[in-house]
Amino acid sequence: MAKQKSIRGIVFQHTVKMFQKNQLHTIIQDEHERSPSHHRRSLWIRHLDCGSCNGCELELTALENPVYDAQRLGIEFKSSPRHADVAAMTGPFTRNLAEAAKLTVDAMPEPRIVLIGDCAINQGIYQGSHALADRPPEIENAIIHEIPGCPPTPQQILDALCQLKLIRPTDRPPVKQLTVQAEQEKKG
Amino acid sequence: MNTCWEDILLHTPDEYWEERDRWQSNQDQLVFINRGNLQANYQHLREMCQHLREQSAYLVTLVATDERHLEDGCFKLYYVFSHKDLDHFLILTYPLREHALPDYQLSENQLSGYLSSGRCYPSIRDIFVAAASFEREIMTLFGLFAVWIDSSPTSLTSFVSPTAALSETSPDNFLLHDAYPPHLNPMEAGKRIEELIKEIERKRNGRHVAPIEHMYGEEKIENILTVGPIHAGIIEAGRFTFYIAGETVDDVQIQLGFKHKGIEKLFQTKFSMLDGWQLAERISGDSSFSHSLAYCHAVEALANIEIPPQATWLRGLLLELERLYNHIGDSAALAHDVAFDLAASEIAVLREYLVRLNAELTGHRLLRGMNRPGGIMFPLHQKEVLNQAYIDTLIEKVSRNRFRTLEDLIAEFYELGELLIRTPAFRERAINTGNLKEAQARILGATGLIARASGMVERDFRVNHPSGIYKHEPELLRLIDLRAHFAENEGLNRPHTSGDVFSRLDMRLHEVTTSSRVIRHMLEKLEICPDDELIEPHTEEAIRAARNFEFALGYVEGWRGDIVYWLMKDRFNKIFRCKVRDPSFLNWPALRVAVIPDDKTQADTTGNILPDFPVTNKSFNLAYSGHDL
Repeated sequence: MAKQKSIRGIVFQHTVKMFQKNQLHTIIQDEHERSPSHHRRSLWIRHLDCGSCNGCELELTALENPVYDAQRLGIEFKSSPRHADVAAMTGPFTRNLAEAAKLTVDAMPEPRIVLIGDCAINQGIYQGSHALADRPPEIENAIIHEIPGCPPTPQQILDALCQLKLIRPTDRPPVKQLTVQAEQEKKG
Repeated sequence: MNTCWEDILLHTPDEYWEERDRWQSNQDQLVFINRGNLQANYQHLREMCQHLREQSAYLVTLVATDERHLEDGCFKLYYVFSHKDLDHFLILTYPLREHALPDYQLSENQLSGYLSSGRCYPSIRDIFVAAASFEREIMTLFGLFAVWIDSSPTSLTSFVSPTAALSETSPDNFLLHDAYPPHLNPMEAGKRIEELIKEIERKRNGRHVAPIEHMYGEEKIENILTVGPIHAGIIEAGRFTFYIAGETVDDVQIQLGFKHKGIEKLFQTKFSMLDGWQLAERISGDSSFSHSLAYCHAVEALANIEIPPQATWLRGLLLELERLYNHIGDSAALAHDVAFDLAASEIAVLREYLVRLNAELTGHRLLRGMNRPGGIMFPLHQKEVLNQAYIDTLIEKVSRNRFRTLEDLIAEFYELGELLIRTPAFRERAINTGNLKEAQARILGATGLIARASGMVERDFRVNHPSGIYKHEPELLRLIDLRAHFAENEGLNRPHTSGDVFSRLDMRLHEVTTSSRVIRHMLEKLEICPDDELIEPHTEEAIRAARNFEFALGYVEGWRGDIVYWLMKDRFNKIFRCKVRDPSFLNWPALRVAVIPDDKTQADTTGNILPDFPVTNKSFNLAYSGHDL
């Protein structure tokens, strides 16, 4: 291990040691990930917790470690819903978080939601509890993808998000317009 | 009755407490006998708790049950205390009886109704501060009020305003926020989930979000900063309200309950004793194995099931594996929070390897689906034998030949941890930040890693109340017991216990090292062949044969602290009451005390600044979902 030199000294030596051992590598899981299409476009995600048990959060956090390294594919987790392309919802929709979730989705310029985990899709193991609410139509209509699993592995999440990047938003009209159109068609 | 409680019994009158022996030798039960006099009843319960406090007993959990249609016909409270040093639990059972309306001055008009319908009980939150959280939870979920009688004997006060040691949010907002109608009391026995849903939908308030006060036209110096419930980053939901003066934090109110999913009601309605472990695993996703293990311990204690010895070893091994990957993941997250991303990334890679080891070994990255009442369900290939060599081949596989054994991985982690604790970037932020002094931790009843890092080195359920493998193999305790470790190592190789962020990381490094030693010790002796019996075959019959409406405790030292399940069986294998107590329930008040200044007049020097809060919160790493259930 490096001797106690200046900070730059320690960090530099450690980094050199790792490169020499060929350890700073990311593990590419599948062949199709090496294709150029996976490195086009980006997807900025706002994580929205709606009452999850934290299992899905662990796997989402794992997406940012050097092994999966979602950032090399342009997939980043952002703090503001206004900067995000999609909101990744985890957890069954609890009553206490209903308002906060609605406000977050309202703040997105083009609400698009990915459901991560079984709980988000159909309340999972907590089905039937009195403390869970139905999602309001603004959120239901914004859902564009579902990733099942309890929790889904980071590889499964990454595969789904990569597919999402390629069929992404600018190729389709935003969902808000769709619902407004549908309502007008219904009325008129 | 165990002798360790004898001196408490000497002081208490026999006609108020009836002894009841339990079939587990380390538990004793005292049932309170109501004599009809309100003041005398309250006084006797409080005196008993006072004596327990003097003996430094630890309030493990406080369970409320609705037994109004059972033979006793009332609500009951069960106070579970643990002896300071020995492996003994004392369970006080307090039935809530109706009392005639006394000539008391009541703080609330409704109190008379609650008194006469048997919904009031004496509060012990001035004796045991940890009881305050439980009493608030009980008030929210059951509608039972903790009261105290003032010294002038004519006034009865209901605890609708908490003591100054806790957060100031109204107890009505503890678990059920504005979305729920008031006085819902969802945990009462008669209320079925469909009726609750109808009631909630019918009476919903229009306003869901508590308004944030405006500061216009006020002369206050302080600013109020509300953060949450949705936080930046991939983290759970909770609301923190900071009262700040410049950068210094004067106070922080922590409001939780956003993730309340009604789990305890689900246990009673949708799950039976045999499959309740599925719900137990998903209370707190990173402690899946320990929660389901505590649940299985409770079921096995209730039905008197002896599990096969190989299953005990395997449970111990997986418990320590869970501890390893979580502590390592925490260290990575803490390094990331102080912006030392090099260490954070490398440690995160090690954590990923361990989680993949879990997946290779058991089929699930977070060790779900393993525990069953009666043993463990372990998918082994037909020809594989589980021993040290097998684990080593798995480590080589998941780390792509970077490490040959688990010890190499842990040694690499230890190097990175040393790098982290020697970096001034980390030291400046971590030393003396978020101080939780030992005296404060004791008063608050903190538990687990937080308590040990603050100096309460005896608070470890593996040592104090050994269960599973630690009962089987007492020599493992020698590796874990911090008191022995401290006695042997004066100054060198001792983790810091000053209660700051640095100590908590140091304690995590220490626990990773001890866990890896325990695993090595276990793997030297462990050998599981594919046709070994790992589940006790007659579990279901044993559970059915157990007596109805009996309760049992199941406890495990998870990586955050002790997880305690209080399980009471209903007819036909159903669960009458399953009270889950995650260690985070006791530690959330400790986070607030760690952040606020010790001396309010010297807030700048004894307190913390606002940017210290994320680091402190990360060093505690408490479960939001485990608290809210």
